[in-house]
Amino acid sequence: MFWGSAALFVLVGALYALAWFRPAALARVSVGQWLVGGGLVMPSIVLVGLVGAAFVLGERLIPRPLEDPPLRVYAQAYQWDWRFGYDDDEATTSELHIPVGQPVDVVVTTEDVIHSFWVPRLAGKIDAIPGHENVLRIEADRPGAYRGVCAEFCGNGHTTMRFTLIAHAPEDYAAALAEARAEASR
Amino acid sequence: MSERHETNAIRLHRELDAIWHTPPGLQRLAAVNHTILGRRFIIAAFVFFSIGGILSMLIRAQLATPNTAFVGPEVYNQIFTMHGTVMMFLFAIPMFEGFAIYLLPKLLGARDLAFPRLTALGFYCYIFGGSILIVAMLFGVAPDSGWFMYTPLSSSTYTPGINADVWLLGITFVEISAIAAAVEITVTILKLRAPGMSLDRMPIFAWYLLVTAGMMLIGFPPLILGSILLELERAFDLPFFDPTRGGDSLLWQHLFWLFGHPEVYIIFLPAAGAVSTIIPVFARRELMGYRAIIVAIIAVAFLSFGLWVHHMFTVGIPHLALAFFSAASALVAIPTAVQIFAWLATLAHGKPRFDVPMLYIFGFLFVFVLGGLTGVMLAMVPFNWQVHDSYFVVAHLHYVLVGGFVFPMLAAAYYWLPHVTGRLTMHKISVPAFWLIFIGFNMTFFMMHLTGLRGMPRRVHTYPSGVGWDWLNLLSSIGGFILTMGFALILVDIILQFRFGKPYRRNPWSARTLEWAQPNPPPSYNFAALPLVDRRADTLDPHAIGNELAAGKGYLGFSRNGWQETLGVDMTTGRPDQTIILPNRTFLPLWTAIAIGLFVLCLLFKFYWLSLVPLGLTLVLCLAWTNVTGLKHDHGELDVGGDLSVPPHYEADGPPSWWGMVLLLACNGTLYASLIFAVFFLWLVAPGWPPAELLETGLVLPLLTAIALVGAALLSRMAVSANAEGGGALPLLLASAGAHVVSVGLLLYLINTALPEPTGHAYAATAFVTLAYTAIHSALGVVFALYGVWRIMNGFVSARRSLDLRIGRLWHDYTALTGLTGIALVLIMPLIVAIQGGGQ
Amino acid sequence: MILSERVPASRLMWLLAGFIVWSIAFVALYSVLSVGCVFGWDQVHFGPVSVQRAVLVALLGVSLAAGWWVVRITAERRRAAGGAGLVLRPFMETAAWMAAWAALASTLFSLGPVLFLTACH
Repeated sequence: MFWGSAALFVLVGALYALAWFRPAALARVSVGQWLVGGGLVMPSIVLVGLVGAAFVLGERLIPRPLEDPPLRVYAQAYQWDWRFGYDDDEATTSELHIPVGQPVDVVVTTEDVIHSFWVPRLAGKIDAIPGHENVLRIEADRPGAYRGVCAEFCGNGHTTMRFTLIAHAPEDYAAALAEARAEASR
Repeated sequence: MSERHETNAIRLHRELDAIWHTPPGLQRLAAVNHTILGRRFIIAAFVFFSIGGILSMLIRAQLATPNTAFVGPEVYNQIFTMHGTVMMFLFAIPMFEGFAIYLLPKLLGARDLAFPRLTALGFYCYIFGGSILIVAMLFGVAPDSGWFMYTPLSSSTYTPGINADVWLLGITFVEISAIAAAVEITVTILKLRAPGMSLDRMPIFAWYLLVTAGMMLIGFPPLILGSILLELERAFDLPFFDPTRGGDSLLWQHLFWLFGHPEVYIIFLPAAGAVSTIIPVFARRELMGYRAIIVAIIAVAFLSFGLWVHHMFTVGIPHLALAFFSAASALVAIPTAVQIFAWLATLAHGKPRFDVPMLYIFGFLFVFVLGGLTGVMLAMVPFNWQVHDSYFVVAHLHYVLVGGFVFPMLAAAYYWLPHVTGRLTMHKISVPAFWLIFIGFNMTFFMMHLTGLRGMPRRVHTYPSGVGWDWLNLLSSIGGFILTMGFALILVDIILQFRFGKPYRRNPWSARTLEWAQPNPPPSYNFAALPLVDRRADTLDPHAIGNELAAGKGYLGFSRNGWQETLGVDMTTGRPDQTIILPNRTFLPLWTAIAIGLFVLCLLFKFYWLSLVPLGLTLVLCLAWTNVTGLKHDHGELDVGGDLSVPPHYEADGPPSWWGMVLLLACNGTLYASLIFAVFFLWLVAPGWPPAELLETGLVLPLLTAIALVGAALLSRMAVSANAEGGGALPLLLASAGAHVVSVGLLLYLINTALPEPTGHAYAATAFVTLAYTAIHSALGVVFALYGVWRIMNGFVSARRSLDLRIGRLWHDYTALTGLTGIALVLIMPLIVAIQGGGQ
Repeated sequence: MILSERVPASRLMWLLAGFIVWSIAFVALYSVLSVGCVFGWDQVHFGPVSVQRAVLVALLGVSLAAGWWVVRITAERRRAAGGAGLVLRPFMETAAWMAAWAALASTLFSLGPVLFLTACH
């Protein structure tokens, strides 16, 4: 997408320069050719390709029901912090723990205003809307800590409403989660 | 011979100027002249631009380094909210309105706009509304929920202070001016043109403005409705956006972006119109692809209403719905490309020459094409999910808005400033100023693409160091200050031009449009006579035309009865069909704006009962506007020169005020349609449905109300027919007023007895607003009917002069139509709600 | 005299007709999609396709037919107006015809995804 854009930008720039400095070179191109070629055909081809690719990618990213339902975790936003819950227990943690190498559905909700769940290195974002449940499907390839932020402006504490997501190897996950819960309840 | 010619011209100038000019002193406040008001709009918009610019400098100072403690989040939130609000509502829109107000009559060959007093009212509403915001900021209570005002952050629970009310009321006040300008611009372009200027001969700038104004009439009402609903929620606890009582914060997002995205094109199109006007002049070749551009901008106008959800890609909407909006967003690139290639073709087929405006056109193409490309990227859903609400978007929107609006407007400023001052630009400062702006702009905002891709979210008042954002932000801040220096230099340049620029006589750029056929600075009456346009109006010879017109050769080249006359034409063909008698200067717009301002202030400080006083005053003042309009006897066909006779507009079929009413009702209808959308949206999407209590009206009362509304409309139609046949309209109008009184009474009774408590659930709140809407319109129906009676009794109405009654008829028809829809909706909703019970 | 006769304002509307059809189609599909998802039409299958998909595709078909109808009419009006000697009429009619084509293409491009994308997730 970046290189395509760069190429288009250079193309328009070059035509503009040519029109200024060597109008003779372009005089033979008729107005109709300019409009149909540059205005209709060129962008249509680019857009059909681009939109098609985006649709395919989008279909892969959306949280569609799977044969084997992915792990669900719960991210609840409030002014101005996060708490994270898991299916098997009511206890919550202040950092989000997930296993690596498998898709995880994050169910995002809010207690007050609109927030947005975003871990830039893992996936796009999804808003936490009052009264609604939104689901974001994420997958981490490598164990480690990932930074997360609130991406939707939510008042004075918006800037500091950060959180950490920790991805664990599948075999360590259960133990790590138990430890985190124990720490949170202490 | 030539000497007599000259003396005739001077005599005509004196006669016309005596009628049209605005005297000095306090009388300036009574000015309604478009040249004066256009200048005032532009100056005021520039002042607000400077305020917005200073705010942006504070932002860049704060973000220059990590962990800055320059301002805290409380202040920072006000700063970025006000920066966005000021730039969008108080700079961009009024700025192009100012250009349009100043230029349109001159381009079209008219002596003023269609509704000069409305121009003045719009100006005062803009200034007062804008001042409320700025004063609030000085007192530290500026809006702080973002320029997009998302609920529930902007609801009273999370923003209990006055801050959000300042935004909602102040901006709605300013919107009055936008709607006024949109009606004004549309009617002027459709009706007030030079004879012979058919639509296909119209200067391209007028086409752009026509499309823009049409978009404003449809685009602004959703926001106005949203603001009204949110203010009702904040003031009276009606829960439209409260998810615990059947409201939904997403409703606000839909209403806001339904306005917000078209808004971007509303800002871009006039600027593109300026580009389409300027490029041909410097390419020394008429615009290529004139018709393709017209089709392209019509396509943009429609498509831009089909992509508002791309601001909401992350709120959890199904992928297929996102795809509609994604594809439509991408599609907008095509008509834009058509325009860009039409400009390139014009340059390629011409013999381009260089001057300062062309420098800014280059800047525009460079920056805007980049912004357009990132726009297409953002339209792609997966990419959007990643960079949404990050600095990438900040970069994109500034490339589009500054590239698509500020650069072309600077080109336009350098191009048309000589028209205002009568003096030429000096190159010494203009060129370095451009390069400062160009380099400063790209340095500031190109970096933001990168900070955004590196994960920096928007609207943070500071950031930690060491995550790869430090030097990019510092560069952005340095670029910002270079940009500011550039703007300071432009200000100096403009002042110097006023003081020291070289005077010239006419048409310094060898342009071929009508505004250059005037002497500069332009006279108060624009043209001593109106020209006959027999070819496309961007291929004229202003020099020859200018001399002829000054000598009074053309239409209306005389003064009559002290009237301010200009010609009205058939919309498509440009054949004159009326002579329009424009109203003279008056203080009424100022008083009316003050009354509206007091009303707004009463609401702001929560004196709700007291607010009824200025509201009543506003109504009385509006009626007082009609005191000087109208004719007491029939004039029949009047000679307008060129062997042509047409009736005065009071006796014509489609005078400007009739069309003005049609457009106003179309705008109002969009607001009403948005309300109906809101009702269905909440039912379908909001949590907390179905409501516990439903409306119980029975059928009798709603049916009676419907009969009263339809009756009022029919009676008013009968009154118009009776009047056309010579009289007897009076009793019919009285009966129509009576029918409206009955319907208002019934509606109030329904609201009081049958409706569940509106604060209990969004269902009841929307039903309340629907019924109240009809009640208000019906109450105004009483006013319209009695106004007709009053005009008849004062002798302003005859079989030929039926305008007052026909405008009333439009209102009564509209009220009946929306009233019936509303009553049907209120009756049907309980049934629909019952069906849904099983659905969710 | 170059001043031609009066023409009804409705002629202007043909310039907008194609895109008005597009707008109606856009609103119709978007609202039917939302209604269908709330009421679970995507879960109800009707042969190989869900009810949701069937309704949407049918609506798309109607929209395209309506758009095609506007193209036909504007083309006819243009042919009828061609060579009538007035500068105006071929101009407006041609512009209307071009706009109708643009609108039809826009309908297909922006609403075509109903044919293959997941409806309710």
